[in-house]
Amino acid sequence: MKKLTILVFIFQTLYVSAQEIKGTWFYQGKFNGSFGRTENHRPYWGKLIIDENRSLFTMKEEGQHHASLQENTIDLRSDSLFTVYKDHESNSLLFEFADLNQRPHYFADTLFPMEWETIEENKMIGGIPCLKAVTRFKGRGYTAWYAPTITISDGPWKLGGLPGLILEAYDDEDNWRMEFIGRTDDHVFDKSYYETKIQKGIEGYPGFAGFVKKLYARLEASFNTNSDCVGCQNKSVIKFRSWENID
Amino acid sequence: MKKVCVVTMMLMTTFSMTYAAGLAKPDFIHMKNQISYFKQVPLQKQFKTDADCSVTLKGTLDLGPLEAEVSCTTTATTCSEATTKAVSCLKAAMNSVRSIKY
Repeated sequence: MKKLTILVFIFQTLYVSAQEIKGTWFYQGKFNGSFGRTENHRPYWGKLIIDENRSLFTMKEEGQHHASLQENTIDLRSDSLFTVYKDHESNSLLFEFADLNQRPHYFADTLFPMEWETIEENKMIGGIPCLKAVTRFKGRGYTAWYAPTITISDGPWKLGGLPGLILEAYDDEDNWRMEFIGRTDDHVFDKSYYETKIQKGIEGYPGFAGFVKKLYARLEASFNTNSDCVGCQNKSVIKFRSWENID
Repeated sequence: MKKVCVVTMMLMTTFSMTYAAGLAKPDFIHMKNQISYFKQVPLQKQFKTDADCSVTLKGTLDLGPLEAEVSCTTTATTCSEATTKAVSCLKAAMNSVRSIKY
């Protein structure tokens, strides 16, 4: 009987391990494009594809999304947001940023630099026991619920570095949230696309900050040279905000 | 004698003027009340025109993890005029973004 129990345990462990290494983890959540100033929450699907040491996270809006001009908002969001490719083997992280022409640009960032503080709280997510951890990262506070039984140190977006896969994550103001909803065995994605970019050499986070600042300067110059309102008794102000600190 | 008369007349005139000035000393309390009164009266009633109206319109450029918000504040004699100007300002600002994009 004892032997049988050990065998079942080993089988279960192997089964879980095999299940953990490859697969796609689906999340459902939301993102507030106004970063909390107004209620601008949109529902998103998150997808984390893991193939051994490499993973790809993408976040797409639920339903159809088209870049458009809606009343006073020019919506230039790209099809996927918060796209992050991680390679644990080479300790690299690559993230995507789409410019005004919705052309993707890739930058490198440190893989899991955040320092997590574990909290003595637990809950079940999709029948999987999870533990709580909190951190501060690029100007925002985040909470993560990770599953110690799924021994993958990964999670949605740039989050990770915990002793288990993050199944739920959100920021302190609840402007961004991802919750695990299901999993499939599918683990196919074009790794070579990202590997080629890493091999070619890409700029790091300071490069991204510089790129964004240039974009801001370009927009500001465009507003300042806007001549339609000459003679109007007016005052135009332009403000820029970013999800991550760029200073 | 003539000189004395002239000097006396001048002195009398000076005294009369000084005395009259003393009598006509302004009533500050009354004046203060009048200022308060004028402050309370709406300008358009005084001049029979609308007061200045300020309108602020905001537009947003949504790039997902980045956002640019432009606000146009315009002032005009009527709110209708101010709104028209603000719309024009915002439209121009938005067009300038689109000109970058395309």
